[in-house]
Amino acid sequence: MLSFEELRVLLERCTETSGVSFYRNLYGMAPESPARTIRDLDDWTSLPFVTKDALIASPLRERLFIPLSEVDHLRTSSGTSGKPPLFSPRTFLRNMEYRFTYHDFKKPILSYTVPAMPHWHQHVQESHGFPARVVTFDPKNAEACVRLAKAAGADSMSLFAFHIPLVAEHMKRHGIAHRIRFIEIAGEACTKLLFEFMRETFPNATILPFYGSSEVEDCPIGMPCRPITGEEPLSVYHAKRSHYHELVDPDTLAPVQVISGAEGELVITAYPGEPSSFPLIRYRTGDIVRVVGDHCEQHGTWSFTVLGRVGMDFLKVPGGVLRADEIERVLRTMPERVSDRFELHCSEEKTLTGPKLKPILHVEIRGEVDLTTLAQDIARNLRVAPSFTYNDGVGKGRYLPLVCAPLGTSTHGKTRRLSMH
Amino acid sequence: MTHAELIRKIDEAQDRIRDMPCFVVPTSFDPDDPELRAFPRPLQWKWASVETTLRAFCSRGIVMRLPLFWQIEPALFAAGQAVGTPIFVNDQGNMPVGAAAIRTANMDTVVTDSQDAFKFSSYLLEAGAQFPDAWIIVHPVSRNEWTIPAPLQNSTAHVAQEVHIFPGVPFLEQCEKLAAKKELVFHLSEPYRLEMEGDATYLTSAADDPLPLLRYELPITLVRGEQCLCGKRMVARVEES
Repeated sequence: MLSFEELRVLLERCTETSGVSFYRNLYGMAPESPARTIRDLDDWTSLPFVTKDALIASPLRERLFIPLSEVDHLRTSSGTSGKPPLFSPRTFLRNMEYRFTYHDFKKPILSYTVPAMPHWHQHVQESHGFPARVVTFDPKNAEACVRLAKAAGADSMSLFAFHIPLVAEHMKRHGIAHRIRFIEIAGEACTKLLFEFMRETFPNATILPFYGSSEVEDCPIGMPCRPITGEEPLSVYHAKRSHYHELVDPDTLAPVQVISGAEGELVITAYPGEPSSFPLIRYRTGDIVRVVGDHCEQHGTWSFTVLGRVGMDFLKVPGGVLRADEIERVLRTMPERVSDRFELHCSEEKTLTGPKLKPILHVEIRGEVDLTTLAQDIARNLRVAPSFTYNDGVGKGRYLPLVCAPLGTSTHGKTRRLSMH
Repeated sequence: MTHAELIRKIDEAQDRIRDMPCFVVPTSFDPDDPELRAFPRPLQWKWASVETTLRAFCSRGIVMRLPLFWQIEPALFAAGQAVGTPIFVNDQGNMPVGAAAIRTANMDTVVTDSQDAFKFSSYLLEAGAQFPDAWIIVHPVSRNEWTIPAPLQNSTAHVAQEVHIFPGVPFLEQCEKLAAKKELVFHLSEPYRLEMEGDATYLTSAADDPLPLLRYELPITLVRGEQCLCGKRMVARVEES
C-alpha cells in the first residue's frame, strides 16, 4: 500500500494552488492558500471523503488532471436514485501483472468492455510479444461473439459474472467450453451457485475474481489473493502497491480497526503514478467488506472479501440495472393496489442454463390484490434499461419471473430496500 | 467469387484461422444470420479513414455507438489515440447516456451505423439535447439505401460516411471535401480494386490479407465518377430503378 510519505506528497500535489480545483473545492480551501499538507495519520483521517455524489456534481473538466487529449477512455456508472450518469476518465491500466501468474494470454481472449476494454487486452498481449487478438463480447449478440471466439481459438474470458451463464450456454453448444483455461469475472460477487456452475461447465479454467469500480481509474481496487477454488470466502483481495485502503463505519464514518473479521465500508486512495487523469483520495466505495486476514502472508497486507453495498439501491443484472427508484416509480403508477413502500429480496436459483436471478418483491397491499397479476404488471413496466423491461428479460430467459409477496409488519422500520441473499 | 463461395472458402480455412496472424470480424451485419462466419483481418490493419476524418473534424472525444459484435473497438480506439481523441463506448439502447456524454463529457463525435444515426439523432432532437459537432456514419453495403438523417443533412454538423463490406471492413470512404458535400459519393479505400462488368461490381482486396477477396461480387452496382479535388476518383452507387 502507499506509505504515509506518498500520501502526503499526493495530497500536496492534488491541492496545489495552480492545479485542478476539485480537491481544493472539496476541502473548502481559499483561492490563494498553499497546498494542504498532513503531519500524521490523524491529519489524514480528518480529510473529507470523496463520494460519488461529489463526483457527479463536479463537471469532468474540473476533475481532469491531464488534458482530455491524453485520456484513454471514459467509463460511466449509472447515477443512483435518478441522478445523472457519472463519467470517469481513465488512462491505461497498470499493476495488472498478477494475471500472468494464472494464464499466458498467448491466445485470444473473449472480453467485454468491463473490467478492461478490449484494446487494453490487446496492449497487454503486444507488450508480452504475443499477437494482439481479442474477441469483443457483445452481451446482446452473445451467440455471434462465441462463434467468432471459436474461430479465433480464444482460451480465456474476461466478463461480468452475470454474463457467464449466457456465454456458457453458447460455448457448450459450440463445443468449446473445455478450451477455456482462464476466466476473469467482474461485477457482482461470485456466488457459490455460480462458481459450481462454472467449475462444471469450464473444468479446465482458473477462475479469478476482479474487484473494480467505474470511478476508480487505478483498477482493480483489490488484487485477488488467490483464484476461486470453492474455499470460503470465494473472493479474497488485498490492496495493491498504488493504493491505500481504510475501513469506516458506514453510519458514523468512524475508522474501523483492521483486524480479522472486522466489517466496514471500504475507503480507497488510488494513485497509479503518472499519467493519472484523476488521483482518488479517500473515496467511499459504498462497498461493505470483511477483513479475512489482518496480515496476508503472501502479499504482506490485510486481505478482505466484499459483502455488498451500503444502503444498496441498485443491483446490476444482465442487460441493465434493477433500481430502487424505478421500482418505486412503477408502484406509484398503481396506487389503488399498492403503496410505494417495498423490499426487494434477490437470490439466485439453479436452472438448466445456469444460475438465474430470482427476485421476490415485498409490497404493501391495499385491499384484495391478486399477487400473481400484480407481479406480472410490475414486471411489464419495470425498466432495467431505457428500452428493456424486467419482463423482456424473463422473455429472453435471463431472469426468473418476478414474484410478489406482502410486506410483513416485522420488516417495517430501518431496512434495506434491495438486498441480495 | 459469390458470397456463398466466400463462406465455403472461410469454412475450409476455419481450422487455420486461429493460427493466422489475424483478428476476426463477422461476415454479416445481422448477428443472427446463420451464415455468419469469422472473417480474418490483418493484425496490422488500421482504420485510417476514421483517423483522417477525426483529424479533419478536430474531434475532441468519440462516442462509439457501433455494436460491440462488430469487433471494431480496438481499431476505433487506436484511430482516436493517434489524434488525441479519447473514446466512450455507448450501447445503442442507452441513448440518454450517449446524450449525457455529449452534453457533459466533451464527447463531440458520434461514430455509428446509418440505422442508429436515424434513431439517435431523432432522440437528441426530441429530447432537446445538445447535438454533437460531428458524425461518422457507417453504411452496411447490404442495406437497401445509404442515407443520412435529414437533421444531419440540414445542420452544420460535420458528417463523414463510409461503406463497409462486412462490419469493420471499410471499402468506400470520403475525403474531407466529399464529406463536406454530405452526398453519397465515395472514394475506394486504398487496399481494394474495383471491376465493373455490366450491372455487376467486383471487389478485389490486397494480397497480404489473410483471406483476400478475389473478384468478390458486391450486392450493389457501383459506377466511377470524376476526379475529386483531392485527386482520387469518385465512386457512387447505381440506384435500382
